[in-house]
Amino acid sequence: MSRQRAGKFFRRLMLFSTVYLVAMATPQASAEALGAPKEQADVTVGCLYPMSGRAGVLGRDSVVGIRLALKYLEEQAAPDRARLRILLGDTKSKLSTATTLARRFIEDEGASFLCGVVNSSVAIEVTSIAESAGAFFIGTDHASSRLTDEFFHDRYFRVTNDTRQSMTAGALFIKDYFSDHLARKPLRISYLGPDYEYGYQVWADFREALERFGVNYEIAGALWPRLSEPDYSHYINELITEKPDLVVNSLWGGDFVAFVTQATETRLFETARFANFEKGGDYEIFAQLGENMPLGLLLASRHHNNWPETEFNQWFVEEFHREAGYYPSSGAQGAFTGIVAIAEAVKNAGANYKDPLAIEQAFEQLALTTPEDPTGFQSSMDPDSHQIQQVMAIGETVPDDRYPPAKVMLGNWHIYYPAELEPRRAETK
Amino acid sequence: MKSIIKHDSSTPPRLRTLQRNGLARRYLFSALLIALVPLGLLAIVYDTQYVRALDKVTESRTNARLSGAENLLRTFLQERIYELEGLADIPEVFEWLTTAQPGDTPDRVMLAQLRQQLDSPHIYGVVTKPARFDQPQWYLTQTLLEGVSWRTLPVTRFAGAELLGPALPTPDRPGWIILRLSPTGFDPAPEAWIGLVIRLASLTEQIQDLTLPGLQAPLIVPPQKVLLTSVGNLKPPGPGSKKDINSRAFIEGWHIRLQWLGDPLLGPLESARFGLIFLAMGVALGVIFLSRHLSKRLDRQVTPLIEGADRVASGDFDTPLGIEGTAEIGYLSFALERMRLRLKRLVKSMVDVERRAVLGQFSAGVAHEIRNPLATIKTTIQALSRKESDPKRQKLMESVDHEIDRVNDVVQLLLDYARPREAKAQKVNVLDVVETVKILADAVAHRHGVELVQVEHSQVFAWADPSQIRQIVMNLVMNAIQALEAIGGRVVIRVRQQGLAVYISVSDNGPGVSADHLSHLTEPFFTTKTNGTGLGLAICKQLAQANQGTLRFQSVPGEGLKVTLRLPLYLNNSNPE
Repeated sequence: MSRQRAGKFFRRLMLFSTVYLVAMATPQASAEALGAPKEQADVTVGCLYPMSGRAGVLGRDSVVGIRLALKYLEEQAAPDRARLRILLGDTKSKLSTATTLARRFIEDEGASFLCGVVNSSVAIEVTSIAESAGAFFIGTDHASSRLTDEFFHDRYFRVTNDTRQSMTAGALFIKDYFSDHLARKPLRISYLGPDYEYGYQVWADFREALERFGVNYEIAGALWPRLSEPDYSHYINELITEKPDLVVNSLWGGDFVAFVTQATETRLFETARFANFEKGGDYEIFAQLGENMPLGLLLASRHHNNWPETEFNQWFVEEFHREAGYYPSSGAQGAFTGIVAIAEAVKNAGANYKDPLAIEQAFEQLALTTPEDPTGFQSSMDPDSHQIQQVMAIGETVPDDRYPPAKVMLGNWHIYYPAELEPRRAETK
Repeated sequence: MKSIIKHDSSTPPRLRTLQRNGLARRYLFSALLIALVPLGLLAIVYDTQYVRALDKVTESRTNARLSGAENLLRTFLQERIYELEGLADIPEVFEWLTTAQPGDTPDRVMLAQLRQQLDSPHIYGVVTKPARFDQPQWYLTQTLLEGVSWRTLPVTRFAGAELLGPALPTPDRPGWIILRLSPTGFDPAPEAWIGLVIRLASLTEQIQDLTLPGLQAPLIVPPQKVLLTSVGNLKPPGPGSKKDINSRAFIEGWHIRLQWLGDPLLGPLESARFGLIFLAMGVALGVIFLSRHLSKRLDRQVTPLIEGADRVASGDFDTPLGIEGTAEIGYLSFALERMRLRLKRLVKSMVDVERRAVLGQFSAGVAHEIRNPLATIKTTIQALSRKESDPKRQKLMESVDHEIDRVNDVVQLLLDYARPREAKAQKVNVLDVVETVKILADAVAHRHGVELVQVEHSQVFAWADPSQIRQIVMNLVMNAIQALEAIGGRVVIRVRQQGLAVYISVSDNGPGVSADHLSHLTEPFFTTKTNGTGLGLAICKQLAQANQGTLRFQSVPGEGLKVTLRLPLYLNNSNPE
């Protein structure tokens, strides 16, 4: 055997070993079950969340959210309700792990529902698996609008806002908030988003909404730091150099914390207004940054602890705090809503709950009160896009120490109802 | 050095030359020298250090750092090639690439292998091109392919693989490259290959360490000859600088450019340099202005002193110099004024001494030559008078006798003035002296219609020669009465004690003495009276000085004259001698 061939053989051997270990060992180590035991369960739901790394807090909060949902269902539902069995899998923020787990939940555990997924790229893979396996996929945290567009299928439903909704609200907000500036000259906008599907889609949806609302703007630049970027200094310097009027950012979780922490050491927040209409207003951000969280940032999230001031939202926030010992991030409410939505759809399907068509119809007709709904409003599923319709709230960071360790929360709210955001959705589809 | 100053008639040439080389001018030039030389040195040092710093920054370590960055870029690509080789060696993948027929789909195992690659933050996706397929198969979750044809991307060979791209970044999405490998080795036209779609920014960020904020920006120049920043963005083309540094090609057609950003940094530094020059000029102008101001002020203060000194030099001791000016000039003018007064006194006393010496010799001679004949004449006249029966002649002879006495008195006064008697100081009851004088003078005063008044005072004692004091007081009182002769009036004698002195003042309300005459009253032979000798007050002054006292004259013309004698107060420990 030549030396070259021997080296090739050795490399193959190493690769096989690695692939085998990753494919076989990781998912089994991460699975956990809640709810009814396997033999008593009517419906099995496989939930996929990252529970480690920078996005880990979202997954861990989602698990608490699922526990609360089971408790809520226990209190609310009739005795003859369908019993749910929830399987939890740690995706470790890896596409390969997530897809392996998804297949395992469906094929080995008999799950008819998948839920969760934070990362939009991972969600695209998982939705393909769900489609090919005939399972339902209930999106609770990822937001790329391509999931309800290019990758749309009958059994995909999303119960939290997508990038199109949040960026449409962002565009409306800009049109209103910067009206004086826009009357004089175009708004120079720099964009910084994570370098993957979600970041691109936020930017695409945002520009599409700006153009739809006739907002006069210029692109000063677009930057794409990778997910879990350790050092944003070059990107921050680039943003300062571009001299925009507004920096639109779509980083989330630990990435957003790292970015803001590094940016507060520079003059970025002094030279430009700063907005994140997706997940920048997550409570975990405020909790981690504490007193270092700058004031006057324009942020939104998919759930707020201090808005709306409804009994349901207060119950959810306080119950979560009682359960976990800290206040929830938006992922918790997404997971909570996902499980409640599945239970509601199964209940609405009645005796046909094993029939996918009945479940699909029940989901398409779904109307649900969530902690995120203000008084007098109820979330409802759009039967065409399978995207839930909810109220969007955008605020500014203001001092507020009611939710320690956060010293800042959102205030000065701008509220957008689906009727303001949705009429043109059909045109764009 | 020859003076080129034109001088007018009012200023002596020597003075003009001195002024030209004056302190103010020297100060001006010194100040300019002190201010400008360090500034000039500072500017030179600043310039040279700045240039050195730039040279150091831009040249010294650049080559080594560039070489390191090139190595990082190659290593990054080699690591990806290693991953690709591992992927291509997987049997399922190898089989797929070599045997798959158009329309086939890859099996699950192979897809799982491909997904493993997507966990890397540097990899967007995987692309496979089986030998019998016309088009490559993309495994991408990203919307990266819009507007890009992989066939149009430039191809670069590197370490047994090929690099396609970069697909340049657009406002919609980031840039990317494909690193592809043929499982059978590259022929001129590979039929089967597998590639990794690599994040362009992951490649470009390898040069981030070359960044020198504000000075140098590292860029990557791909085969398309565009400029890629370290964060993977396109940099708008602009005019290059001579200081831009291009590396060697780290792979064919790709190289690093260190773009010189000197201008943004240089601008403020250039401004600082100009600021420094303007500051130096401002300082120079300020110093000139200040020096001129000081010079003029100094001139204003010094010129009167020079003129005063000139007056003193020409013998005018009476005109005051005028004490003006601040600090040193003020002290100088004060000292000069004091010098003038002392010189005045010195000259005056020297004249007095001279005059007295001359007068002494003269009066001694006169006395010798006059007194003997006068005595003979007086004896003769007295003898003739006794024999004379004619009353008219008798009267005439009496008159000659009186005149001889008067001449004799004048001679005695001359002798007294020339050879003053030494004072024998003792405790003197001043009130007794004054009262005695008053009693003696009362009759004369009454005769001239003058009221003589002594203001009451408690007892006071002086340390002086009593007879000389009586002589002075008597002289002053008699002068005052004579001043009121024919007009009548009032003479007031006052005694007072103040500090360690006793003052006896005699004042009248007569015509007084003009200011011109006032300073000459004690000069010998100066008199305002028709029949005075001009020696009385000169002797009084002499006697006062002999008793450690002074005489002071104050007069307002038309209102009278006041003469004050100051004597030392008798103290218990006064010298008994």
